[in-house]
Amino acid sequence: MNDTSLHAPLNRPFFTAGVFVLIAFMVIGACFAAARFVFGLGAITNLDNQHPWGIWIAIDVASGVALAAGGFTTAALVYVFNRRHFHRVVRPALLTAFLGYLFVSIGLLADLGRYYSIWHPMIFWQGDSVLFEVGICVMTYLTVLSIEFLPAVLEGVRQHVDRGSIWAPFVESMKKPAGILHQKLEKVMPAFILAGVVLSCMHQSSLGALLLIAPSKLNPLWFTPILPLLFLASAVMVGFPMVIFESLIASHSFRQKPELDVLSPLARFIPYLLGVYFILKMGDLFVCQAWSSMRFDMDSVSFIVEIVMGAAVPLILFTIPKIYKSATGLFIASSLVIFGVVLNRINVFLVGYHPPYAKTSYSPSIGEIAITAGLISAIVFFYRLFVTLFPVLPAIQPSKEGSKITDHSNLQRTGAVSSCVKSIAIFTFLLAIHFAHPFSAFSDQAYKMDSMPSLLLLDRSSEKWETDRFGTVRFMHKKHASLESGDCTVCHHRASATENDRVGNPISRNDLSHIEPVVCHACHSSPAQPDAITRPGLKGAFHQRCIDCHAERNSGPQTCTSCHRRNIPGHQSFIQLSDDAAPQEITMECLSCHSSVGQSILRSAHWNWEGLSPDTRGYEHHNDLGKKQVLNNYCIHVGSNLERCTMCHIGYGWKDDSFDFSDARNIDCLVCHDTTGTYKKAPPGAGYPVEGIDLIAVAKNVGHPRRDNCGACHFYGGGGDGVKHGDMDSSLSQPAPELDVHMGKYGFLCQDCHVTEDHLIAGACQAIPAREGRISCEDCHTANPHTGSNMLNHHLNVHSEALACQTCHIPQFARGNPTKMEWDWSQAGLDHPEETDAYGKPRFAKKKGSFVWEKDVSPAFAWDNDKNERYVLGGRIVDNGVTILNRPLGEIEDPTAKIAPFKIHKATQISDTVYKYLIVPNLWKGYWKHYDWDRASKDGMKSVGLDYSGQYEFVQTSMYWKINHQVAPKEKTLSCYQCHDSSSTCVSCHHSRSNESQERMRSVDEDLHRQAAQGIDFPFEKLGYHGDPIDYGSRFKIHQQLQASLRNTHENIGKIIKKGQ
Amino acid sequence: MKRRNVFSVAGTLLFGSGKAKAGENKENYLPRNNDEYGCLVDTTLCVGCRECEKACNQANDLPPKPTEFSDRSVFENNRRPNSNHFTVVNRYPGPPSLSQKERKETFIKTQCMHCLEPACVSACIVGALQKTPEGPVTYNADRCIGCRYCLVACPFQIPAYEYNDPIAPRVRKCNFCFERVKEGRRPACVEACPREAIVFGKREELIELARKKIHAKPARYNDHIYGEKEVGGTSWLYLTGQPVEELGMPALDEKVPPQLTESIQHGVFKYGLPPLALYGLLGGIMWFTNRKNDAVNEDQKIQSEGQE
Repeated sequence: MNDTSLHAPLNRPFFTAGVFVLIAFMVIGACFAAARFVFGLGAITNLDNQHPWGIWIAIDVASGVALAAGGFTTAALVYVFNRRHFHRVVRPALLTAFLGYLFVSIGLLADLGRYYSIWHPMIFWQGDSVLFEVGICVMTYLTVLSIEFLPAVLEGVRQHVDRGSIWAPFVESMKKPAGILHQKLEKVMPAFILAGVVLSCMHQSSLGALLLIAPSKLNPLWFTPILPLLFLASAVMVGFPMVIFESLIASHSFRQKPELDVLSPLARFIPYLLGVYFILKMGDLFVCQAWSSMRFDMDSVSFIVEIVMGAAVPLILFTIPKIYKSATGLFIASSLVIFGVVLNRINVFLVGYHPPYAKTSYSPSIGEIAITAGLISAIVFFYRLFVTLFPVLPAIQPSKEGSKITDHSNLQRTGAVSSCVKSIAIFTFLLAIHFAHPFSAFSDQAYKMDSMPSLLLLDRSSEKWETDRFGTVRFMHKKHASLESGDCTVCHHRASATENDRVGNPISRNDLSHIEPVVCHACHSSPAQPDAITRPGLKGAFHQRCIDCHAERNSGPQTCTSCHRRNIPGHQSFIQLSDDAAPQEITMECLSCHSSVGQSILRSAHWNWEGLSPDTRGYEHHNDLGKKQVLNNYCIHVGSNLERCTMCHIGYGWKDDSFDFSDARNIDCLVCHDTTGTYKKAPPGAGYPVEGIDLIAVAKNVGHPRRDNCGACHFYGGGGDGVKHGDMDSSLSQPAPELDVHMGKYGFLCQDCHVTEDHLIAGACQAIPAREGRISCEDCHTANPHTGSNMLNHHLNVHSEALACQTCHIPQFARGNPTKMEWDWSQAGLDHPEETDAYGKPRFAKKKGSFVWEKDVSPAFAWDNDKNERYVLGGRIVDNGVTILNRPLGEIEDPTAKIAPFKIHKATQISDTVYKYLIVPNLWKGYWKHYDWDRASKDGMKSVGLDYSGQYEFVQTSMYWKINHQVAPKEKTLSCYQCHDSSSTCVSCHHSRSNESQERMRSVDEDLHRQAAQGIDFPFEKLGYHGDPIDYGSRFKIHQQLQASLRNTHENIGKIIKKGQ
Repeated sequence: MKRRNVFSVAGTLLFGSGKAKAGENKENYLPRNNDEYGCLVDTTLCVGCRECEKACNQANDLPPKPTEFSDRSVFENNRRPNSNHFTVVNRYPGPPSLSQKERKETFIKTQCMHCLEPACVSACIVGALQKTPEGPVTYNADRCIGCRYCLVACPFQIPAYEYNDPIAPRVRKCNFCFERVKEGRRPACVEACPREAIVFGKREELIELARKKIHAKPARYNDHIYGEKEVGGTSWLYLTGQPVEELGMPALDEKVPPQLTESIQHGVFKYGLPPLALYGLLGGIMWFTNRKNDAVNEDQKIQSEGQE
């Protein structure tokens, strides 16, 4: 192929304004590329897991490869189809193709995460991969292209030497071998030309197959099995327009005459190629019914623009002679085809690509754009460099031969700049189209009752429990059995046939008469293994059954910690403080990990000593009723005695009004979480610990509060062990099972019942209005707590409608230690002998007056509906008689009220004679120092902001303390005859029953008589009954007229309760 | 590979007639190896404790997470597996099934499904991703070149990429605890599940177990085992009580995604014949046209073709 005469290097100065612009783009691109290689893809791209491919693939690679199609199409035209007339355009087309592919590869280096492994496909063959094919073809084709382009270089070497250019000395020695190589190449070139065409056909189409692997992601508008064919057809179609486009820009830029003599005839082929693509595209659109995916969205708009502007319009344009015969016409028509193909590639790879779960849509980052722009600029730059150095462009004389250098350079600059502006304009146009698209991703976007175990500890060691995180579960087995009406098959669903049978047979309720249920771990000993997938392990089985049932019935515990106790990890390594750390520093150390706890504490009643008071009449919607507003008949009020009283505050330093309740640093974490038992608060220390405690050791051994932690304050309320509550004293620290079943027998901690969430502790004290949640026995034991199949249980469950559980199950309180029952402040200051009583407790103290202590006290009973009436500071006392400071509001007519046991603490305390309210005396550092009631009253009342008339007297008050703790074993509960001292018998009611059951009842009856020997009187009349309900009927039978109205109110109350929940 | 039958598409590609043909030779993808392991996730059992996430994190030495695994506030946002988090549990509103009306929320664990015909494996240019005979789809970082085609190909959008590693970024995803599974041990997440909502076993047996569950509790389960047929089947199977679309799982048909591309691929490269045929055809044309128009060059052409 003797093309020598056809081409010549461009005889133009290399550096123009346009070239500097190109260099600027390249430098900017290189900077971003450097950043990409130093900081990684994430730093400069907007690529994410949903959008792994961006414009580098869509534009740099896919579009780049497509636009380089000019190389193989012209080569095919000229050499395969032997249209030598077009010979002139082959070399520039080959150069464009070569540069295009070179920079596709360079662009890929930026895109590939492990660019240094770009050669791996050559070694690790993966024939299934479309990308493998593309990769291999591109690599091979790049080699082929360089061979195809080699003659131009070799020729250039010769020409440089011949012309004696400035490069001549460097390449002189290469002239001869170059000549020989050129000659040899000429002979084998057809083989490479053919290889180039075949390779191009293969990878141009394979590029289209890339996204076919993601049918669910690519919009049906573009997804078609013939997408590879469409890619090939569009590549073929864009080849000639690309050649025309370049030629026109080049001739314009280099001030040459447009080669219309070649370009126009070349353009005559384009309508056929465009036509083929257009027919394929439209055919596919209708055959595959992709058009039905048309929506009014950006995809469809982009699709239409692609077809109309990029194919249909140029198809028409290229058939109009006026157009294909003019440079401007050709330029516009060619640009449209190129735009169409680039838009098609962008559409397929970006616009039409809808990954699932994409939260954001992809748009290219500055860095991506800069690198792409840099690569395009580099192509243009090297194109210019090559055409300047080597014979690439047709050897046609410049059209304005005689122009002067100055003129010429001026024109040159404008030419180069305008071509630059044009290419940038086209690029910007594409970008504008791109940004106009919000490239939005899919924004659419659970036997025998008496003999069964009542409580099981679920802690089988054979199973790897999460011993490190959750504690064992107390499973109320009998309770659950009763809830299932004795249908054991709900859990014991299969029975082993033999001892070692781990599969067993399904059993039904009827089988229970002769089959004894087997224990869970007989089968569910180990978790489901691949050889026994139907049989979960113990943990799985329990969790499946428990959670499902609780969820389906919406009852019972449903969170992890409502069944399990959460285990606390060792804190030794977490505490990194010096030995002399102040208490606040330890708090900060705690809060540094438990950051949200501080805020929870600051909201709590334990911190504020006040809170929501939904159960206090008149204060239902208050959140400020607490220790500061109410007073008691022990040491009366915190008011002026802060420093002493606040030793029980969970904070440090509350000694006066200046205490900052919003400062979490003052929270005393240790008093509740100490497990060493060494932590103690100083009596008059305003909450600070006593000196000399190893706080660090305490902090390193924090854990769940034990009973002693809560007891540190609550056992000693009122200033001494067991003074206040009656049912809470230090005997509960390690109680015997007889004293308290829950804590003594089953090891309950306070929080096992007092459910705590966010450090807000459920439970209610009769004396304090604040509530952070309510708990009741029924929470676990249900409204029908007595499980068992006999008649007694039925009767007992009927009792639960009118009696609180505590009434029978805590027959006496203060069974561990004595409690104070009476306090006479009027005796204070006198010089009586300070003697002790039978329990070793003082009968009198000069500071406090005289006391009455009692032990094993039978409680008083009252109707209780959880509501209270509170005596609040400044409230009027009753004129003659006993002022009740916290009266329970239940009444016999109230169906929500139940009879509950109370300790009633009586006192004689100081009041203002004139104003008729109780006085808050200043005791600490006051009366206890000077024994002057007048002065103590003055100081005390001042501290709470109440007037003091100067005259005081002692009045009688009483307080109710509901008895909740010290639940006795069932053998020690109240028996029937202790209350019902009646000659009536069961049989007298149930005379119609069968003989068998009568006999059983008689036995119960005898039992009752035996128990009656212990008898106590139950105050039925006091509680509003006419007498023993066995004789007179239950409360609602007495009040006949109330029944009707109750039925109505029942519903209303039900609603109110629901609302309250 | 025995399952490839690919003639049709070679013609399809080159002569442009065949959307219908591609994707019909499904039987070639079955039957499968009966010893493959799988997992059955019963989403009606999941309570969202995130123990699986924690176990996964430990088993794969993944970096610690900003919040504790017991933190349920993460459910506020829908999360996807990422390069540091191979499995995530997401919360969806409403009860898991019709029979569980009292439950207010449904939890779905997401991880690699380990397709039977993985698109990612087919897509991988260097075979860095492999479907092992045991079932897991594993990844070999030493081969990976970082093209991220697997991310494009995955119908479940699972593989994640270490975009911020400039030196040796990896594609990251659940590898089905391959080392454990190879020994017949249960994957870490399965072992951690307190309710045994995930069962590990032979895939065939799991499908049977799933069918039994559906049969036993028709009100609880959708009569659909997600992953039995989707994209040609996946090693991980899901039982749901709601339509999968409502649980953020892509509704996919039974077509095997890589089938089309592989058909085309193998069609084009069947023993290299089609390219050679094209080569010969073009060569013939070249010879013909040059002989007609340029007698001088004819000799050279014949010579050069002789040299091939």
